[in-house]
Parts: sequence; structure tokens; C-alpha cells
Amino acid sequence: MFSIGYDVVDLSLTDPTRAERLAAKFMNAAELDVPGFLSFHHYCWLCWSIKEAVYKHACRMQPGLVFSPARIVVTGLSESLEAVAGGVRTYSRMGQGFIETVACDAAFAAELCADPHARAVAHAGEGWAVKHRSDGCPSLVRGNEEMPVSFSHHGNYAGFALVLP
Amino acid sequence: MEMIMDRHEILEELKKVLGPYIKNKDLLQNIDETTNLIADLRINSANLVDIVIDAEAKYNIEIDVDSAEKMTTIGTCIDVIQEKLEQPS
Repeated sequence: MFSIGYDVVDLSLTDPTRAERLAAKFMNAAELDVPGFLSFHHYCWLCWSIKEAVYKHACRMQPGLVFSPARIVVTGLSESLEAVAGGVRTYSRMGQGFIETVACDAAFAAELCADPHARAVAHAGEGWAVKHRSDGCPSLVRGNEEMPVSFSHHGNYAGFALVLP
Repeated sequence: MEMIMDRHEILEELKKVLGPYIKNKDLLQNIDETTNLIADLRINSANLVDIVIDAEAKYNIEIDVDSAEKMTTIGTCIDVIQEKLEQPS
């Protein structure tokens, strides 16, 4: 089964003056070459969002995995905000006030919305429901069927991403 | 000069560090060393690094990346802070 990880960052809750100190705590030396199309502040939080999405992607297969952001290295970041991190493809979007990232190697659907659980269930269709594993890892389930899903919220933003069947 | 603080003193200061990142302040009333920052205090994961930086300022210590990754519960936060306080500056 494919996995998926999703993360959203509300940029209004981030402090540009702390970006350098934050980066020193979770960014790898190989990531400190800031692309010209991003401010350092946005790049810092983009990397954080990518690492969080990749971590959530990995947790599905490795329950109990500890989040080690410095060990998840973001590589190949393009102007379209696609990258590879932790061996997984990531797709990010930066909008007015937010950054969202999906980590997934399969076709997926993602949506920023007010009620991600309800929207994910509606997207999946009749009979599906959200279920959480004991470690919190979510899935959509319908009988014996299972569809990987990931949720995130931060400040005014929330959303989900799910693997398309 | 090393600052000597026992676990209780560290915890009281740690609550002040965590406070700004906890929506429901009542959650701070019944914490113990097994309390998980994300699962129990509902701190957003995006604030974990902010907490490390604020703890460094509060206790006048430096927390390296490997130590920061351990700070997932109240107990492990106190462990890391105590370790750093005991290190010669």
C-alpha cells in the first residue's frame, strides 16, 4: 500500500525574525543554499512543511518513528515547489498566508478546507470513515478496504491529502 | 557558572515556556513527566522548534539538534534541560 503525508503551515503564526534560529535547529547543512525565488523565511517554513509531510508519510510504515527533521534532507527543490526528501516525492503549494505539502509517490488528492475529516470522507465516497491507529496514524476505512489519508491543521488553515485508488 | 535547578524548578519554568503554545491553559494543571507535548498538551508540531529556542533563552543553555529531537514529553524536556544546565559553559 502507498503511504501519504500532508502538512500545512499558517505563515501568520511564524516570525520572520526567528527564521535563522529555527533553521539552525532543524535544517541540514546541505539545505542552507536558499533558492533565489524564495525568501529565507518562506524557504525555512517550506522545508519544515516538507519534512513534516515526509515524516507523516514514513510513520504509516514505521509506527513509533521519532521525528528527526535534520535527518530528512530536502533535495531538488524546483520553482514549482516539487522536491524529494527522505526518498519520497513532495509537492508543495504556497498561497497567500500558507504553505501546504503532500509527500506521496502515488496519485493523490489534497484539499485545504474547514473540516478535513468530513471532506476526506465525502471525497472517498459512500461508506468510508476515518479511523486512527493507536499511534494516531489515520486511514479511511470501509469494511476491509483501507485508503491512506493524512491531516494537518495550523492556525487558520487545515486540510487533508489521500491516496487515490 | 552552572545553574543548579531541581526537576521541580525546571518544570515550573518549563510551564512558562510552553504556555504561549497551549490554547487550553487548563491542560497545564495536571501534567506529569509522561505528558506528551503534542498528544496531551495539543501543541502544534510547528511550534516544537520555537519551544527549543525559548527554552534555550529561559535557561541560558544551548540545545543541540540530537537533544532537541528527544524533547517530546515533559520528562524528556526536563532531562535535556537538566543535562544542559549541568554542562560547564
